[in-house]
Amino acid sequence: LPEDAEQPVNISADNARFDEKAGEAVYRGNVVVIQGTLKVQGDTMTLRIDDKGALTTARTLGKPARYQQRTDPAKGLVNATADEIQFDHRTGTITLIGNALLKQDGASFSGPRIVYSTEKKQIEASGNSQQRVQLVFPPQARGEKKPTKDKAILAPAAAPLGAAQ
Amino acid sequence: MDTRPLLRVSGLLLIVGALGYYGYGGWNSEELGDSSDGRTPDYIVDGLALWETGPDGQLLRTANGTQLIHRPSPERFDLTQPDLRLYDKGQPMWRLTSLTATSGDPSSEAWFNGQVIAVRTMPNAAPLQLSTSRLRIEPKANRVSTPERVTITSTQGKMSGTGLTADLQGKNLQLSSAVEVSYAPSR
Repeated sequence: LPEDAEQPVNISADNARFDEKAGEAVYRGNVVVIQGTLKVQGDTMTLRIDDKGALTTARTLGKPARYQQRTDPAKGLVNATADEIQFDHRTGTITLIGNALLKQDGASFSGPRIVYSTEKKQIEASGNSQQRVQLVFPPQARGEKKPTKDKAILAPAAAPLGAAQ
Repeated sequence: MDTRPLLRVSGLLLIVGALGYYGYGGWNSEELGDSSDGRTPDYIVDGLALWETGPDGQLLRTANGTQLIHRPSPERFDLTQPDLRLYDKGQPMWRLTSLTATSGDPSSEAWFNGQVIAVRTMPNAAPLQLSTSRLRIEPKANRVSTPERVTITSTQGKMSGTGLTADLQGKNLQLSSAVEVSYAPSR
C-alpha cells in the first residue's frame, strides 16, 4: 500500500554486518523484513543505503526468497517467490530472478525473470532459451464485470507477448 | 665504624612499620570494599583525570574516574565510574562510560563493565549510541567487542543483537546473533 513506505522497516536475522563507508548492511539466516503490508523473507539480504541513510536497494536470496505485499486496497495480496528478489526502493520496482512466480487473486505469472512495478502496477515477464513465460488467469466469474485496461493488475497486455515465445 | 645505632634505628622503624601495618590492618581488599581480585593493591588514586597524547602532541584519549586501584604483577587497573574519551588526530571519536573498567594493559585492552554506554562523537559521522552490559576495547587492534546483548541507536533507527564486533570508528559493525533492526521510514 502507498502508506507502507511511511511505516518503519523491521528486520530480524540470525546475524548482520554493517559497512557504513560502503553504505551496505548484510543480513544472514532466517531474514524477515516487514514494512506495513510488505513482507520479504530469505536466507541473505543485502541492503544499500545512500549517504543520507535512506534505503536505495534490497537484494534477497533464498530457496526461495519470498515477497508479499498488498499493492491495491481493492485487490488481494501480491505473492512472489524467486531465487533472487531485487527491490529498488526509489522506483518501487521488484525484479524476480530465477524460478520467478508472481500471484494475485488466482492469476499468476511464472518464468525466469519478472519485473513488477508496484507503483505503475505493471508486470514484465521475460523468458529465455530454457524456460518460457507462463500466464494463468482465472476464468471470469459469471456476471463479474470484465476489468477495464487501466484497473487490471495482471491484464495480458501488461506482459509483452514477445516475451512469451 | 660502629653500626649498632644504625641497627637500633632500623629495628625501631621495622617495629613501627609492623605496628602500623598490622595495627591498621593494611590495605586488605575487604576493607576497600573491592574483593574483585583478592590481591592487595599497591596504590590507589582517588579522583583520576588523565590525558594522553600521541608523538605529534595530538590528544589520543582522556580518562576520568572516581577511584583507580592498581595491583602489581600481574598488573591490574580497576577504575570506578570511568569516563573515557577517544580522539583521532585530535578530533573526538567516542565517549565511553560504565560502572567500572578493568585492564591489565590500558594501551592494548580494557573491559568496561556495568551499564556501558558508548556514544560516537565524530564530527563527520551520524550520531550513534551503543549500550550493553560489558564491552571490550582494544585500541591497538582498532576493535570493540562484546559477547553480550547490544542495542545500537542511530538517526536511522535502532538495532540489537547478541555479540558484537566493530572497529573503533563504528564504520564496520557485526552482530553475531538474534539480530533485530528497526529503520525509520525513509520517505
